[in-house]
Amino acid sequence: MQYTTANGIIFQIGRIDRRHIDRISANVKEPVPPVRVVSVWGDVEEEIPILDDPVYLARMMVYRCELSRRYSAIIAPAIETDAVPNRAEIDDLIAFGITVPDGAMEQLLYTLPDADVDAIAEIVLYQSTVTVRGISEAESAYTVTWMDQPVSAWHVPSSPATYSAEFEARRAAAAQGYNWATFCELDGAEQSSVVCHWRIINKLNWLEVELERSRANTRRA
Amino acid sequence: MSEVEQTLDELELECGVTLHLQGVKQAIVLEFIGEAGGFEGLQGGVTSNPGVLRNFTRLLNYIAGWGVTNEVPADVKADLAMFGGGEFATRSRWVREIMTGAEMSQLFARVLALTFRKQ
Repeated sequence: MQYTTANGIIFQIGRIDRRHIDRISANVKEPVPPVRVVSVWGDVEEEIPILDDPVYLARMMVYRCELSRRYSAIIAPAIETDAVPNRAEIDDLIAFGITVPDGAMEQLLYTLPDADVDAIAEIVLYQSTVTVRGISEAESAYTVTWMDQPVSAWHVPSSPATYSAEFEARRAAAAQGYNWATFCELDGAEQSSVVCHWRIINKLNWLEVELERSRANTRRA
Repeated sequence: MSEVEQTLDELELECGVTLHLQGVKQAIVLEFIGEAGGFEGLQGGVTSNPGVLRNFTRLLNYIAGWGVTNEVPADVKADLAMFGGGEFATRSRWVREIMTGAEMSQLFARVLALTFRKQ
């Protein structure tokens, strides 16, 4: 895949081993928003996250910067370009006491605007692992509906269990007969397709069980 | 684009120069702030701690060089050549020379706003 920066630099973008990405995801914890407890239906209380809390927003900003910094450090092997870093700019940064990474590609990325680096990282991630974009594309391709609505639009009760994206991908991969190493060799779109398929199957199973239960209740009545 | 955004990237100075501004690298700004003791360090006042003041000055120097896109005038460039350094270091020196303290605060605030505004 090709990406052209705002300044006209052309990059050819490939993929990296998703396990590098998993390691970063495991080590950089996403901030948790504070919650507000509200009463619903009398005695029942529910926790609503406060997503515009200023401290939470500041922590999210630092979190995104840290993720971007770490991704920048691992995506260099996946990208190619004829451009070279501006030596004079690198020297100026060093003279200003800024720690500049080693390696020509890393230095080139370091001097690009954040928007370009984020866009390049997004493409590397899309081609390397399960992403929201990949899931969305797979959903569109599968076109599975339930009562004329996309299956993804149906709300099913959430599980009290929580787990990482890697854990979900491992479950989806195992359910479809992949071992983890083989699954990691798939490109990002294929990995997303496997996870999307697994999610749809689970949701369909739940909807079918509920429908059967509802029909049984009707018959008993 | 809102009216605030239209004016955020330009700063008219008392000396008559209009600076054109842009966001800088978030990671570099956060690195400076981290070295200055984080946001808590800045809250204590930048002049109360020599370490914080030194890092704050470095951050200002960086913002003056990379957060401004004006071409340095040729005659000024020749005068500043004796200090060495490339385009960014020269621009940083020039910008700091032509600005008042109050304008420097404006520059700092605007470039940080451009750097961290929501995409």
